[in-house]
Amino acid sequence: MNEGELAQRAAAGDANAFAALVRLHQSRLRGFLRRMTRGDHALADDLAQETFLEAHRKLASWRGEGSFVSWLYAIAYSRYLMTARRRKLEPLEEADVSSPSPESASALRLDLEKAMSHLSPGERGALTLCFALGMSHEEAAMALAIPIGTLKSHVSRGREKLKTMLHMWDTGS
Amino acid sequence: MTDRLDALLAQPLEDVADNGFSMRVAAKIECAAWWREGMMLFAPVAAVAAGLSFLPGEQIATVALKLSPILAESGAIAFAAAVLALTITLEQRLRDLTM
Repeated sequence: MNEGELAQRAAAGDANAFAALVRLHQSRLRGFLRRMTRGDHALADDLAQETFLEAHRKLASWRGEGSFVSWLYAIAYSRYLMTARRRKLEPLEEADVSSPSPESASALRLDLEKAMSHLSPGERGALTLCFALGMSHEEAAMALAIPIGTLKSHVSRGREKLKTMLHMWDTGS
Repeated sequence: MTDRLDALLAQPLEDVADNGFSMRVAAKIECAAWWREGMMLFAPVAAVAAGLSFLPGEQIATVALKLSPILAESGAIAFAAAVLALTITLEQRLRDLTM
C-alpha cells in the first residue's frame, strides 16, 4: 500500500493506517525538527509528537491536494515557528560563527550542523527539505507555506552563507 | 567547494531510532479520542442538567398532577401510547434481527 492510500485510509478513521504513517515518517520528521531546533532532541520530539497529533485531528480535512508529506511538514514547521517565537529561540544569526572543531571525526557533518544553526529558520528549512529530504521546490514551498520564488532565494542565500562559513573554517580564519 | 557543499547537504538526515515514539503517539491519540468521546457524552447531559435547574419544577409538577387523570382517561391518548410502544418494540426487534 502506498503512502497516499495509507493517508486516505487513515483519513477514513483507520487507526492502523495512521500508525503505519507515523512509523514511516517519524525518523525523517524528527531529524528535520532536530535540525530546525538546532539539536534540541527533546524539543524536537515534543514537536514531532504534536505534529502527528494535529495531523491525526485534521486528517479528515486533508483532501489529498498536494502530497501528504508536504502537508505533514507544513504542520511541523508551523509548530516549530510558534514554539520558536514563544520561547524566543531565534535568531542566532550573525552571532558567533567561529570555533568549530575541524579535526574531529565526521567533522564535516558536525561543521554543517553548526553552520546550519546560524541560518534563518526559512533557509535551514528550505535547504533541509530540498537537499536532505529530496523534496521538489513545489513540495518544500508548500511545507514552508511560502511562494516558490522565496523558497529559491532561501536556498541560494542559505547555500552562500554555508559556503562562506565552511570556507572560513576550512582555511582556519 | 560548491560541489562538496551540495554533496554534504544532500546527505540524508541521520536515522532516528523509534524507541517507542510511535507507540507513545498512538497512546496519545487513543487518550485524546477517549476524552473527545467522553466530552461528547458529557456535554449534552451537562447542558440538559443546567437547563433543568432553570425550569420551574413545582409548577411543572402541579400541571402534571392535574393533567395525569385526564390523560389516563383519554382513549385517544392511550391508543397513541400503545402504537408508540409497539413501534419502538418492532424497531428494536428488526434491528436485532439485522445485526
